[in-house]
Parts: sequence; structure tokens; C-alpha cells
Amino acid sequence: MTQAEKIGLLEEMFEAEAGTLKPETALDTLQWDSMAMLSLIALVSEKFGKRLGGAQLKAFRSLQDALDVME
Amino acid sequence: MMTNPMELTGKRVLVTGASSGIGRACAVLASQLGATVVLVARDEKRLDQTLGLMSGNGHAVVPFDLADLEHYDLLFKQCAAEQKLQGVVHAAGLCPALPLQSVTLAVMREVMAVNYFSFLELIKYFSKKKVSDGGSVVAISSVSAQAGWLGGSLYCGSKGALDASVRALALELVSKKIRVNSVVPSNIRTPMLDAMIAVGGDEAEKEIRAKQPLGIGEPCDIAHAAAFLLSDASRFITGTNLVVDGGYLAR
Repeated sequence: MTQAEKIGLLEEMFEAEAGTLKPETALDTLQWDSMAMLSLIALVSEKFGKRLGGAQLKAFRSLQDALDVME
Repeated sequence: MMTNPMELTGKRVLVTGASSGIGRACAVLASQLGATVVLVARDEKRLDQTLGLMSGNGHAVVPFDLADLEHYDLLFKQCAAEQKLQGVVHAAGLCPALPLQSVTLAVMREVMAVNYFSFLELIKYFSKKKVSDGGSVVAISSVSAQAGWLGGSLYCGSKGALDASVRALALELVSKKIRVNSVVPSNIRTPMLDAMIAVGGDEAEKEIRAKQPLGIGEPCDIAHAAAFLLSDASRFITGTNLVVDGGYLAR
């Protein structure tokens, strides 16, 4: 999966307009709450077969942190 | 002479989800009360572990994927070919915490298959003359049927469906001398709960404790209620949802 496709998935998840999110986008400028964390857990589990933990997610600061686990 | 009203001697009981948590506790307790138990779940190795914890003889291990809704005829051929059954405990269940936008059709189908449709199929076959001459059915439901939580839309619905069907089936199966009830647990110390706490961290555990005046329950707390509903001690009880929640719903 390309970087652009991964960002596309995150844009869909955050309901952001296509092309508006960048790797450096800070998560605290988005609605990064417990529901969003559950959504990311589900996304990464479904598309990449990986389990994310709560402690891991709480350390995330930017979109790049999410992109790093999407492989 | 001492009598035990929860005695299950002479009863043969099928338990789904018997590979861990509440299902395992129900199977072990039923065996201690004298029942012979048919252990059903996907994971044969973990079913064997359950078997190792049980009392008495004559139990059976039947590996089966409860989401495989097309093949319950084969399951019951294996479970009730030689001896009839007198009870069922449906403890198998999936507990996804998913925001609505993450609830895909595939997840919906999987969760409803394991948590709910499985129950209808189990009781459909259990209530056939070839399989039983009456008995008691216990569904393991959840307080989630009565109280929501963030990310619980699908799970809460699956348990609500279970509790509603319990009432309708109780009426439908009176003529077959089958009682149908559910046990309604809150958060119980099981691998399923540990997995949720692993995701949510210490905060999640604190939140759960704050919601349950009696703390986090143990699987045996639910098994005791299930055994009561299986036993003749509850012969006047059908169509009910027996809450065993450490006070969760009292708030």
C-alpha cells in the first residue's frame, strides 16, 4: 500500500477532505479521542493484521505515528 | 440426608464457548454438580484444557466453529447421536469495541453469527425430539443488552437480541418442556475482559471498577447462576434475564 493510499484511509477515518491530511498533521488538530483510537485499532487490524494497544496509541502525536504502524 | 437443589446428576449439558472464561467455568461447575458435559468451541487444545479441569467421566470435546451456521446438523449428530441432552449453555461470544463507522458488514455478520444466530440454531436442534425430551437452555447475555457504552453498538444489539429471543422461545418451547433463560453478567475477569483492558489501559480498568459496586466478577459467579438455571431448583423460572452484575445496573 502506498503512502497516499494510507493517508486516504486516515482521511476517510477522520472524515477529512481528500488531500487535507499530511504526515506532519498533529493529531490534536483532529478529533483524536477514544472513539478515534478504537477506529484506528479496527483499521490497522483489518488492513494490516496488527493489534495496537492503548498505551501505544496514547503516545501518538502526528499522523506519521499512525502511518508508521500501517504496514 | 443432605440434598443439593442444584444437583445436575443424570443431566447431559452442551456448553458453547467452553474453551475459556465464562463457558469454561460453566462446564467445570456443571461437572462438579454431576452433569456430563459436551464441550463446544473452535479451539480443540483449549477445550482439552477445560476437560482437564472437570470432575467425573463421560464428557465429550467437540471442536466446532459456531459461526458455521450451515452445519449445526453435523454438530448435533456428534453431540446427541447416542444420548439425549437435557441442557444447553450458550456462552460463546465476541465482544468488539467498534465505533459505528468501523462496523463493517463482515464484522456485523461475524458477531451476529457467533453471539446470536448461533443461539437460534442451537435451540432449533436442541428442541428436536431426537435430541432432547425437555430441559433447560441458558444464554449468557450481558448488561450491554440494557446499558450502552461507547463502541458497543453491535455488541449491545447482539445481546439485546439474545434476551428478547429468550422470552419468545420460552413461550414457544413450553410445550416441549424446555425452559429458556439468560444470565446477564457485567464485567467479569475473563480473557475477553483482559483483552479490552490491554487496549484501554489502567484507566479502562478503573472505569470498570467505578461502574461495579462489587468490583470485577469472577467466571464462577456467572457459572453459579447458569447452574441454578440448568438445575431443577429453577423449574418454575422461564423467559427471564437473570442479572448477575455486581450492582452495575443498580446505578
